[in-house]
Amino acid sequence: MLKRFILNLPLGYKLNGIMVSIAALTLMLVSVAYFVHQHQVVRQQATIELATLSQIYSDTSTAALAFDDKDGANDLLASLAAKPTIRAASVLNRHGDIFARYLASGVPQSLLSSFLPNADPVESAAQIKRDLFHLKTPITLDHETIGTFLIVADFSDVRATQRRFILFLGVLFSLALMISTFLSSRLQRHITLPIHNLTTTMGTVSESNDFSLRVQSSTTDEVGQLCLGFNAMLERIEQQATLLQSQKENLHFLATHDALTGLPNRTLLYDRLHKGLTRARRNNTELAVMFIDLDRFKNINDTMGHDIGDLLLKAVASRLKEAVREDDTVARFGGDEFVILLDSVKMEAIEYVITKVTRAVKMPIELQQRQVVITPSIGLASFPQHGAIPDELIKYADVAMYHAKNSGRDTAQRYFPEMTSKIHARFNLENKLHTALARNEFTIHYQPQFELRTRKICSCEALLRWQVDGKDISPVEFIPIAEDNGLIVPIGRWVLQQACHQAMLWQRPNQPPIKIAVNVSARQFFASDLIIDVEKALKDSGLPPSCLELEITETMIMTDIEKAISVMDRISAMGVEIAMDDFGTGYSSLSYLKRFPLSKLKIDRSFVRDVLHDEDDAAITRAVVSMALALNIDVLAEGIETEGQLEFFHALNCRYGQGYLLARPIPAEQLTALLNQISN
Amino acid sequence: MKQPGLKYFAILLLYFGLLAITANQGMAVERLENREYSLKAAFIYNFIKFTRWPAADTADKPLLLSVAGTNPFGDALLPLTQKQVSGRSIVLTKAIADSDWHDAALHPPSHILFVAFQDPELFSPVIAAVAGKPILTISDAKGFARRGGCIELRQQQGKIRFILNRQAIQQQGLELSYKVYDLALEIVGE
Repeated sequence: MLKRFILNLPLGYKLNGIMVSIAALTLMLVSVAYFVHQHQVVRQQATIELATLSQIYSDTSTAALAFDDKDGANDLLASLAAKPTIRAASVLNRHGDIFARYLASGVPQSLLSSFLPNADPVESAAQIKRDLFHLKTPITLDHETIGTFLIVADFSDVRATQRRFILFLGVLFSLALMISTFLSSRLQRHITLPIHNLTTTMGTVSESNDFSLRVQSSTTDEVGQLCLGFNAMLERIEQQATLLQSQKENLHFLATHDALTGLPNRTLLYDRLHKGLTRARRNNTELAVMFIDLDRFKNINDTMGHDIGDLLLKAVASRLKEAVREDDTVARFGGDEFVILLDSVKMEAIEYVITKVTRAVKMPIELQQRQVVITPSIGLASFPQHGAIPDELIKYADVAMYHAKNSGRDTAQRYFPEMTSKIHARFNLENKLHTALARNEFTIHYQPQFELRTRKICSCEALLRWQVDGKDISPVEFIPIAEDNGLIVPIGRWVLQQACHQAMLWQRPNQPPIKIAVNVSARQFFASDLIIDVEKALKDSGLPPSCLELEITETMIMTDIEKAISVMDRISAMGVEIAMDDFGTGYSSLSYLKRFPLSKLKIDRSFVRDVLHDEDDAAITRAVVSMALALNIDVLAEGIETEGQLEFFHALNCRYGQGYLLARPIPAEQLTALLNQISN
Repeated sequence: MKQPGLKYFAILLLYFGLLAITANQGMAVERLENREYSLKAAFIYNFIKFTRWPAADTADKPLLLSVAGTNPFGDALLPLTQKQVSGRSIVLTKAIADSDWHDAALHPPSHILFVAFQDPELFSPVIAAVAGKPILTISDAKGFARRGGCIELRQQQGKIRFILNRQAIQQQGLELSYKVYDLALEIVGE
């Protein structure tokens, strides 16, 4: 208990205690030794004094004893009255009888006889009884003992002297102890102060975690070295801490940023969004979340490789960053999805931002000597209109983006609540789409295409129809879904097979061949097995390649023109013809037309519809048709619904036409019947 | 009837009785004198013990004790010859007649001379004769010390006391212990 208490005392107290204890012990030993010495000296001195006195008196009393002069002897002894310590004295003759005596006042005679019993007159003897010192000295005369001198002294004075001496020593001891305590408490600071400093600094360091602190030390002794060592340790810790901090920051950056683009990742986005919302709520400002998805990025990844895809993402990332304010957050949400967080933005400015972002993304990007154009689908949700929590805003922006995508891509959509239900419907649809092929829910309708001059059926376009629970679902609805999830590839393959088989059935000997036009989706077009699928379909059906026409769209080609050209060349080499669908809606340069192995251009129905009352459309159409003719490419006008339109194109020497005026898409059996009717 | 023989016997008895008493008395006086001189002899012995003779006096020689005049000590001095003082024996020179004390005391010279003369006219010449010589003169004659003797013994209240003549002792070239001086009845010649 005590030992624990002493161990827990501060160092200064311990040092003090040790020094004072040693001092006290030393002083005590010295005092005791000195006292014992002094005690002996005093006693010895007193004894010697008494012995001397005794010697003198015994000597002096020789004559008196020799001359038997009792009076003389008594007179002599009476002179002892001058010495207060002498209590009694006597001169004994050779027989031991008292010859003369002296008794101090109040001293009984028995004091003298107390020593007598064992008195040998010849020998000197001493006895100390209590404080009384009896000393016996023989009285000799000429070597002959003639008697004894007996003296009794009171040594209580000696004791009193000793008591005074002890008192003196005690005072001296206390004084020395006080001085040593004072000195040690002063001196120990030289040792404990640096240690105290060390401890204090250590405490401060561990409390504040400030490793830049250093201990001040002026000595070079062990404590000084300890301080130096401690400082060195602090320095190393500081370095380590700095290193750790930078690593931590690095790690934090890695944890909050996307490795590829260096943009904030989903985690940081949510954090910023959370903070931004708090700020917006407090400042009563608006906040917008822009969800951006790159259209047909998968195609690029699949056809050009992931390296190019990564380069594209990086390029888009830097463009997006340049397109918005510096304090807006551009984050990579995953894959080809980006989210832009527009802090305290006015809704009026949103349109401008959308335009800026769209333009930035759509600018052609040069990747490995190839021009790539990519378009964004943008969804937008804002606080406080659409939601107040990060998850909500992101979700709604995502939903809006989905809608943008479904409404033909390359657009921006603001969120509105109905979108959510539409999304649900779309999910529903997508689920059903997965099993549609297996359930035989797809059918193909065929729309005849006519030679305008003869108004005879020369070919027909295969159009996919999907019936779920007796309800027709528009291709506009499900084709993008199939395109997105890749189901378009097996579906397209099925369509190709069916159409080829059907077309083979329609061929008649000695009759012009009935061509079959099959739409190829972008995904299908860039998939490596398109050629194999085409070959297989032709082989399985026995349809001559020249009777198959693949319809591709302008925008599809423009995502990767070089690759598209190579695919088209291979198709063309098989003898299969290629028609460009929806011509005029894309941004294809007319100069490319020359390089494409096209056999037919299909003028988009939007031009055909307005061609009679819109001069611009009429002019464009005229130019396109004459250019195609010049390039020796056949032209087909889509969506002819009136005689006027038909006449317009016929007048332009446009060879083919398609539309409700001529024939609607019909099931294969009806077309078979129609063909039979015509041939008959 | 009267017995004349018994009467004579009684007278005879008385006579012898008286005789016996007187004789007894005479013996008593003599015994008293003997005791006095044996005490004085002891005193003389003590004086010898407390006295130092000049260094020239060789230590191994015996101390000579003489009596000037008729020796009053009888055999009382004889025991002294049995004793030694500081390793020296005491030799008693033969009794000295009144007239020839001179030779006896000085040839060879005594160390201690007891002067038995009671008359100053008799002892003064003796004092004079030994003056300056290392001879301790002792006497029980009245006025001895006052007249230049060293030690004068005197009987007082049944005790032997002494008077010392410091000057005389010093002139004799002797040293007497102060302890003896302390006991002196009187000191003259200061």
